[in-house]
Amino acid sequence: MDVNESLTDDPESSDAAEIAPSSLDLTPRTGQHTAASGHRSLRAVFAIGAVVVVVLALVAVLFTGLRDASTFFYNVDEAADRREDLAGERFRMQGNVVPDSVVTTESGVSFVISYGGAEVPVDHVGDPPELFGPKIPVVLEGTFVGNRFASDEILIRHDNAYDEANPERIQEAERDAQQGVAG
Amino acid sequence: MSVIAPPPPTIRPTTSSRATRVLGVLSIVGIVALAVFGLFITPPDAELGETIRILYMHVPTVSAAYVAFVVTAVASVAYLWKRTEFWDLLAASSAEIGVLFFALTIFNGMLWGKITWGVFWRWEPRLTTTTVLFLTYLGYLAVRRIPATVSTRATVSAVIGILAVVNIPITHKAVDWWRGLHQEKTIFGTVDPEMQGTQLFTAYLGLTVFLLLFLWLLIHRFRLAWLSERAEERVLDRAIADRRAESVEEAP
Repeated sequence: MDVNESLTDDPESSDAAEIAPSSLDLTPRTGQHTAASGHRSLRAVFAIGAVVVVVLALVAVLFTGLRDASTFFYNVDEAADRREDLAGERFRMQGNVVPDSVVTTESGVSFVISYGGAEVPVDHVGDPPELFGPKIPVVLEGTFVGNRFASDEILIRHDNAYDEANPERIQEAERDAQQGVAG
Repeated sequence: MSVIAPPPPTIRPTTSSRATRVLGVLSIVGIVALAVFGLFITPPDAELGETIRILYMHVPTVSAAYVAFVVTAVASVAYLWKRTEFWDLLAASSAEIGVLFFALTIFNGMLWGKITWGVFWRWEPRLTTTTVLFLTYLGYLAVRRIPATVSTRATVSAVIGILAVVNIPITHKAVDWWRGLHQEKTIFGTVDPEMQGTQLFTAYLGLTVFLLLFLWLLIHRFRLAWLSERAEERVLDRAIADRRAESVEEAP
């Protein structure tokens, strides 16, 4: 299409009448805009780089994270059943700490963990976390050594039951106990 | 050149209005009230002790983030339907605030994990799906920053905004579907029936306050995005006007 024609066939354009079409310079401007376009391409590099990093991170998380997460732990009874398969393998085992089984040792703490009717004695190296105690559900990380489980990490599982700490209840229990002794 | 340049439209260069000021005051008063209830009035938990107080922030921040991402998805659908700037900018603004609240959730959750589980992080199901969700929305924001035409940017990000929201129910249900460290859902129809009194009240107060805060921030962020688009248009208009003026001068 002819340049002149394309300009004159738009009479509604505000500049249609004012510009002599033959003298219109249509060469693209480049010199003045190099700084702005440089800034723009730098922005593109950063944005595309960010997208690439995010996608790589997503792939890494999906591959390693989900594989790990699908069998995050075995329950004590399952681990006891598969003792031979799991020999020498590092895995996580979930269960409840058996009351009165906790004994402090030189290197940490020993106790028995139970779940689903099975019990496994545990030797833990390191300080147990603050909330560790009898009946608390825990996830242990470690390996079977013979019949015992050698653990080096205790994770506390908390359920979604929240109870107001009730000092009165403790007082009541103590009072009942004293009355029991007196009576 | 000013002869041809269009007169600048009258745009109020501010993002505040009476509505946002009311929302702002309510949010700030609410946060103070939440701090008082969460830190002083509610009793410690029987098992978790004082660490229960993180719940009054952890659940509200993640709820606000989920709401933000749902707003992004709805606005993305609306954009693909109506093709107007409003829905595109609303989707983007909401995603940005959602990412902020989600980052806060991960941060306060890690602190909570350290004092209850004993570790900051484990790749267990809830935390893994949470990471995937977080990365997806970071990706959404990164894609929006790739230079492109306004309509390409809006269309591509709308598709991502719709696909990404699928991960919310997965993340939410992860605690039921797979074995992990994270406790089960606390809120949204599954509030612990044992929770009561000031603990329950404070949990809902936190939810309300953070939803108000989200709305407040969203309105400001949306208006900022809108003004920013107008500013870019004005730069473009001026460049065109300058170019035209040169041509007029050159023409004898």
